[in-house]
Amino acid sequence: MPRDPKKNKSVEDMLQKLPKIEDKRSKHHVYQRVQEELHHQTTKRKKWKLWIPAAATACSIVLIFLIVRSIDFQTNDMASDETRSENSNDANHNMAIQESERQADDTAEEEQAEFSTLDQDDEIRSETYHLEDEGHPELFEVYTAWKINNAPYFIPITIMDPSGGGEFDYFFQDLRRFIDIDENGLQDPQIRLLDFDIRLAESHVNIHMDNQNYGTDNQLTAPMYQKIISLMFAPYGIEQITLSGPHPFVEALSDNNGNMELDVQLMQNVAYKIYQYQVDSPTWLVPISSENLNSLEDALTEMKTHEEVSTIQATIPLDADLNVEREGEMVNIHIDSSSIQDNQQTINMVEAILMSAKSFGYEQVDFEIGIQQAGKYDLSTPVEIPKQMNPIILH
Amino acid sequence: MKTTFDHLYDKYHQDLYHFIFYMVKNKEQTEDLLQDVYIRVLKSYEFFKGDSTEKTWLFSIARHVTFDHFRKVKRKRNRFLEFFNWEDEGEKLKANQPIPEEVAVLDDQMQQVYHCLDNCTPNQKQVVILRYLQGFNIKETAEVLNWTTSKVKTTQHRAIKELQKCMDVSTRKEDGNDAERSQKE
Repeated sequence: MPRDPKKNKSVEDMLQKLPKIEDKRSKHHVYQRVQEELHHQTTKRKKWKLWIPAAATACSIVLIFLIVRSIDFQTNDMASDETRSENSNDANHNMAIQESERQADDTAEEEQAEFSTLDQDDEIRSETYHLEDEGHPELFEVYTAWKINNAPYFIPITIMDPSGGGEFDYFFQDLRRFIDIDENGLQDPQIRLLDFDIRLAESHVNIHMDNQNYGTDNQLTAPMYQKIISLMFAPYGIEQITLSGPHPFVEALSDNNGNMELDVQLMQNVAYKIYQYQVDSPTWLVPISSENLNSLEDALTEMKTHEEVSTIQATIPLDADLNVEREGEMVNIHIDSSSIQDNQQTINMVEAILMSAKSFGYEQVDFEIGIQQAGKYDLSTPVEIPKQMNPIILH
Repeated sequence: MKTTFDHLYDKYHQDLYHFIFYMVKNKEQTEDLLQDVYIRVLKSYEFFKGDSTEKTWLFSIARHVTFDHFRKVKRKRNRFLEFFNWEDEGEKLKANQPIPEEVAVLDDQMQQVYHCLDNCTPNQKQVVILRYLQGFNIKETAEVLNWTTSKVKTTQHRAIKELQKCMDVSTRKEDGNDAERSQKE
């Protein structure tokens, strides 16, 4: 609908004329209240400061008591019935202590749970999100790529460790610890069979390949391998990777001059759909590339169709009317469809569009889809493109 | 601390009060939230680096405090609704805050604008308040919200559209009531 500048102007005028609402309290009164609250907070903190060492001391005493009792119990294991009876009393006593400790722990856990709930940004909802943009100074992200069984599609999955970590080896030893490949119909990327020298600060990665078994079990080809490695290292801004070793992939991917520098393929011009192996399996965003995807409009149209593989489904309703307008780094996407509501399908669509838009170089998407909220996404304002896709957050 | 408080109070108190009031539309809550703003500001004032202006820094804190409040209210409401299993009814409940005297004396149309602000999302509302009631320019608004200027512009456009829609509906309703009244007469 075209804008009516006169009408808008009058709304804007009226907004400017809304009265100033003033605080009638005196400055002294406001200051007093602030001071009281500050004092109250400091006292509370002091009490905590006293309570924590006291609690720690009490716990230590209980622990020492339990250890001593346990040693005592072992020493007297072969003693008389009378002693056994005493030990039995001790055991009962220990159980009583443990029970009281358990109750105390439960209370603490309940309090912690209440605290965590208050700290959470949003209320717990049942929706599944495939994108994550939580800023955390210690967050360590490991990007991985998983090939779907019997189909040439790859799922990028980000393993996020909020405790920091920073050791790729720990993750690469066996990625199957983090993802159930049977439940998800995925192939093991066998990253553990490769030898990595990762220098993110220098934007460089060396991969040594001398294990001839790599790629045989999971039926990888050299181009597939290039895709996996690209999905793993492109998010760190790495553009080239040096390959070495007697593995056939190294020769296959080197250029005519025998140069072993592998170009990292950026995730550009792709359409995102949803992959789900079985009805009760988790869902994942999956990038679909095609020579026909020359614009975001092409990608959005592509996202209306299911893939031939039945496990990969469309993310935009088939009846959707699409309109795309660009404004610098932002793209306005207008979708008209009777199927759009605040539900999981719409969340999937929003997330798939965000990532597809990213692959075409956009940083924000302004959605006009007939609703103002889809799950956690506030669509009344342009949505920033999140950083991590298909996150697995370690606790 | 008193000197810092005096400085901030003299320069920004009424503007901050005005901003928070229009966000929550309740004077008591505004007073509580403004107190939280002062506590956060006074605790971190020595760390203020001056990357932004003092004013935009203060408003960004006020905005965070207000959004934290909205989240708490929403969580409490959801728990309450879950407890009674009133989900469908609950979504229809609207905040029924008393109209302040300053607004009660305005004409119907101005009161409509005041009420229609509730039809905007919190993000739209904060843009409208900063831009039209506080007189911030696009760049300053973007700084307060930590957004890009294009995001501010788009959100403002959406908000005005929403307000206009709400005003049109209210006007149509009133016209309908007038016609009904004159028919009865």
